[in-house]
Amino acid sequence: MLYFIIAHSAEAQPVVQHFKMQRVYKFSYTMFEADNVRLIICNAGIDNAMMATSVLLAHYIPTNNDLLINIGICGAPGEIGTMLLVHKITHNHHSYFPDILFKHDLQEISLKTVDMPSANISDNAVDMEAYGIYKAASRFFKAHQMIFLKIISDNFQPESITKETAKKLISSKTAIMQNTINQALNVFKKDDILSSQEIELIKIIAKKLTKTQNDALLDACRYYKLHYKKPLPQIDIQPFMTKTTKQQRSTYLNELIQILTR
Amino acid sequence: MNLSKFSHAELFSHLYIEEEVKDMPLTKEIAKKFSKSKIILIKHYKDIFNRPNQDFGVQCKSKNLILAKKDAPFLYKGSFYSDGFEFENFFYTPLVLGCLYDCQYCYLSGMYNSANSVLFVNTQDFFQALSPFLDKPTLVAISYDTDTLAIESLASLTKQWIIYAKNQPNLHLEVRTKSANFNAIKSLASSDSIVLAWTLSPQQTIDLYEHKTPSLKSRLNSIKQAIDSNWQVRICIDPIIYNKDFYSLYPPLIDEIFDAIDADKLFELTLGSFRMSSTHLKNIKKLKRSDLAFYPYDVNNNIVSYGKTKEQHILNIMLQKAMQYLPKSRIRTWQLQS
Repeated sequence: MLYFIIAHSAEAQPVVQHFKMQRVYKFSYTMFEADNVRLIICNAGIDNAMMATSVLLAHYIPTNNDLLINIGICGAPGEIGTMLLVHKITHNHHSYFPDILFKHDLQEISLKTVDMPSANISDNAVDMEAYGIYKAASRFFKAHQMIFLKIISDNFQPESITKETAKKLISSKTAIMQNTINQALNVFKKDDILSSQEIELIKIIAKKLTKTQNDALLDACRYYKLHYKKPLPQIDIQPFMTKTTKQQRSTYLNELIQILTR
Repeated sequence: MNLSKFSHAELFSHLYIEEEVKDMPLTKEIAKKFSKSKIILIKHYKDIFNRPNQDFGVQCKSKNLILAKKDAPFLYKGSFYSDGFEFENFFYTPLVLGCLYDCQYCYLSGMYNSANSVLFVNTQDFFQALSPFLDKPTLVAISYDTDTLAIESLASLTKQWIIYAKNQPNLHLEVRTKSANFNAIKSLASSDSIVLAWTLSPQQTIDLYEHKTPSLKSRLNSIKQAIDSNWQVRICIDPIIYNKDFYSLYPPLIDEIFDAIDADKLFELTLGSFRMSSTHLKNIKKLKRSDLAFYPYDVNNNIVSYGKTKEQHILNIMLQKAMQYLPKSRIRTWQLQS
């Protein structure tokens, strides 16, 4: 699942169109959804960004395979329309560092999140939301699961930016955005070691085991899968169901663990 | 991985540098080697290395380097899990935190949040911290939470320590490595107070569990060069991994070693079966990367191991085999204490 947190409707519109998202009315925020994509508009400012991010992620708890994307325009030195990938986000002398573990051709930059639109010239990019998004999202995502994409809209003349300009700048970069997302997803973890059928089978057996015994069985199954790199062998669950004493079940379990880990 | 085989630019896509050390000579020297890496200034290495929401397993695919200044303490008492070789003072010193190699049985992946490495550039402070202890024989392990020889081309840390030790009669060093990088220090004269210790495993174990490390053959070549240059070399077959392949892999490893190396010239052989703190193993399980994390170990006093009986069996077999080549007095074994 992709989670987009975007400050303004004008910036969101090209992304909504790219993923063919539909408007949904779940919270008191403007939200859009499509298969495997959600987008929330947080409005300007750190507090707004934190609140919208928290609302979205507390409701739809992300998994290890999900990705958060903040895309928007920013003031920065450099050519207007350049897409930047943020590796450091600072606000009031405190910084966050998204992990960029994938290969890409984008220019990386440090970004300063400010409280008011800024006309002060800086070496960094400047926005008003990224710090708040990272702060709230880091409760739910690991550092490599968050990417912050910024497109230079101005060289620190924020008053020159119109909604149309913002829309146009983001529209021109949706293909690069998609490519960056694909690259980022490439480094992610694969699924659990055990397949869903194997987990179901172990759940049935678990009803007859203590927590410690179940953990030991799970470990042995994972050992088998990782060591032999093939599906679990046929496990006869009948003895767990028919053996009546704890002692008998425990003996059978130990035999099974020995087979799986030899 | 012998770094000399790699272009530096391929190694770290990002260099995190503490603002306080950005102008130090060693920082500049290292940064120059990574001209294509993105440099990100940070206040403190822990802002990166100790972040709570990192994924060690994913970071292993793209490790980064942090250059920082170490504050005291610079020396730590040697761990219970390691051999102190009967030295009254046995320390390890964290010149680097984290290792470029990715050994799936290594406690580092259970100890650190981050797969990145922190290299401390204030080398002289480590020497100063050590000097009060040098009134009696002191052993310092300099490759404890890392493999210093593997990254010799970055900062010449091993070289600096060897040169320092040569002027300190009571200082004994153990430089443990899986690298094949003896070349990096071959210009230095050998010393009786320094032991170069190579960890060796069967090639199948290397392929399965010691990712990014040099082959057994290249390690043996490096060892041969070191012995030929009169260095004291300790070979460590540790950890020994016990599974159904143990019998076909580990005793033949000893034959392979002594086919390549003159046993009479080997300083010592140490043998130890896999063991680890149960806390570290618990963290390694979360990474879900290696079968080794899920073996049904014995747990005793917060140590996971194969248990006394199996451990004794493993060590007996290895000891018997090793004694075909070496007298028992030159073979050490690490065993669980009763």
